[in-house]
Amino acid sequence: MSTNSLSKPSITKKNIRIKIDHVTRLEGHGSILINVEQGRVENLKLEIVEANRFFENLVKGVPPHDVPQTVSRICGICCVGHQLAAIKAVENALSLSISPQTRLLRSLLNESQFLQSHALHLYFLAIPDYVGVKSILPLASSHPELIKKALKLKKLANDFTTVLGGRALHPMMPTLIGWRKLPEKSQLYALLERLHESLSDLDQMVDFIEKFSWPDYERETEYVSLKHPDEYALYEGEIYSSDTKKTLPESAYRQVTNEFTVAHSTSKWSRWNRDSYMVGALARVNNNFTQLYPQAQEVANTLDLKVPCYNPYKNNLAQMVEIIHCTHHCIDTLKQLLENDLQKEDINYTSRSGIGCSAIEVPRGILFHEYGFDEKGICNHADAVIPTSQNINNIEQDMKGFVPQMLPVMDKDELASHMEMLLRAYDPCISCSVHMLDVKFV
Amino acid sequence: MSKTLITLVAIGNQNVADDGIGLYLLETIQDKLSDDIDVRFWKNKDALSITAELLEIKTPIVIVDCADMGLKGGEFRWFEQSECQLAQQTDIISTHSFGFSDALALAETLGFKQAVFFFAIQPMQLEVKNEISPFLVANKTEYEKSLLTQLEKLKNKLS
Repeated sequence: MSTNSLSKPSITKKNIRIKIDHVTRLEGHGSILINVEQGRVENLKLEIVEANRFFENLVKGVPPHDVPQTVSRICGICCVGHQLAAIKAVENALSLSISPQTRLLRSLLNESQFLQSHALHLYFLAIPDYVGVKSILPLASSHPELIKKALKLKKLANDFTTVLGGRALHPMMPTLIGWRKLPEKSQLYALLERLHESLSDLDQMVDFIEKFSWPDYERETEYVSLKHPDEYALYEGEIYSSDTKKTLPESAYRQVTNEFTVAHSTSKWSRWNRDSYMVGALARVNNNFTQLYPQAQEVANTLDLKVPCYNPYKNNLAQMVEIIHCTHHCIDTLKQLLENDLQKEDINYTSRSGIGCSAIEVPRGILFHEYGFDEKGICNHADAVIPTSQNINNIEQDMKGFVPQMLPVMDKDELASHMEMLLRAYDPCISCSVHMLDVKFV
Repeated sequence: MSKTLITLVAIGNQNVADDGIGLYLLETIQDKLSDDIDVRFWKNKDALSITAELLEIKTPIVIVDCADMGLKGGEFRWFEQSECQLAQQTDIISTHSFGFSDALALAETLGFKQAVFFFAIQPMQLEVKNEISPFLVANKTEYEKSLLTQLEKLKNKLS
């Protein structure tokens, strides 16, 4: 038994041992261990046992334009984010700049990923918890029209990525300083029409989740996101902390992530101004609420998501708010893009030595990439810090706060299911996604 | 233009050796098919997108894919959905464990009612490489002939 108890003795004298061994619906392996003795939390760990994947070594020796295409493979869900982060970092390393047209196309491509990822996580992985069912199939049976709408949104987002990127997974069209092949204007008009049509479906999707009751748990933490003076920061911005109310340039990302290791996790942990911090939809909404589209702010009010919100479960509500924001922003961006004919741009570049980093918001939070190139223009350094590795520490801190608080009122099954829901609320991607956990009690 | 009678779908991953046999086969025979057969290639689709696609299809569907049927590598079978039990992982649905059978189950839950037929080939290898096994390539003519015969029979039955 540990001599370093994590909680004061509670009124209850419960003994509870929970071992959620290999958390399923994660890409990779993670386990949750909870040991309560006589009402005291003696041990609580979120174990990550995923093996290292060595992507940062894979790109060494690769020319600049091949780096983004290679690191896209880090993740099948966030492939667009990894690709765009790498493109931006390589451009920074080589001092390359882009046109306003490319900036608009990249913003659209990035937000197409937000739409598909949030729709997938919210409606197919997270919501079954709140309806009290184990998977999407019973939910599809009881609410077929809702799930058809969610599928329609997912398909629209995938088609969106395909039109812009050439394919939905690991797009081929975006590259350094431009686009290998531009989308047809007719395709963009068709997307614009479908986005408009989706707005009424989204209203009904909001109505559905408005009815749920969310676990009553709050723990204030540090919320970290990008911040941009002119827009709700997704594609670019400086790194902002809710604790300091200040920003740092993306080049200072190591001052933010401060990665360190713990014995029970092969994923590195992060901390900045306190023990842990949170990135992702809730952090963005908390930090940049006033820059959301008015329609998204209205949905936040409808869903009773008041900022600053300290309830990590409500990260799912923030995802819904961002679906609304991204839909409206994509509509306006498409209109702006369609005001003129798309111009084929020269994508030849001169390679050189240098080092550059980038920060971009992807659905699960800030993603940092950094690359260095030697005098022959060959990659000799790479670093990537993904959102989930920044969140893992905060998830465990949330669990450590939740269990002692809920121990007097929850039995073992309820605690286990709320731990699953908490982990799922973060939409972790230990490589990718999570929904249900395989629970084994020891 | 003829009314579509059958939707013929190739599913697979061309980077995993024989998993791409369905795509390979349909790419080589699509020009030999009549206008009343709508050919689709689902090579970059996640399972939820496949569910969405299934819900939009209004004809019987023939899936051409590699499948582990307990046969010898390179052997093939034509069968209907009712003749088999598609393994599902409905209690651990994630984007990674959500396969075609789950996509089909979700589509059926949402009202999909079309008959589904399979032309399946037992793979010889499923390594990460973008080449079909030489034995399967050598058998391509036999697969083509059998698939075209089955499609003709199905069309006659439907019309």
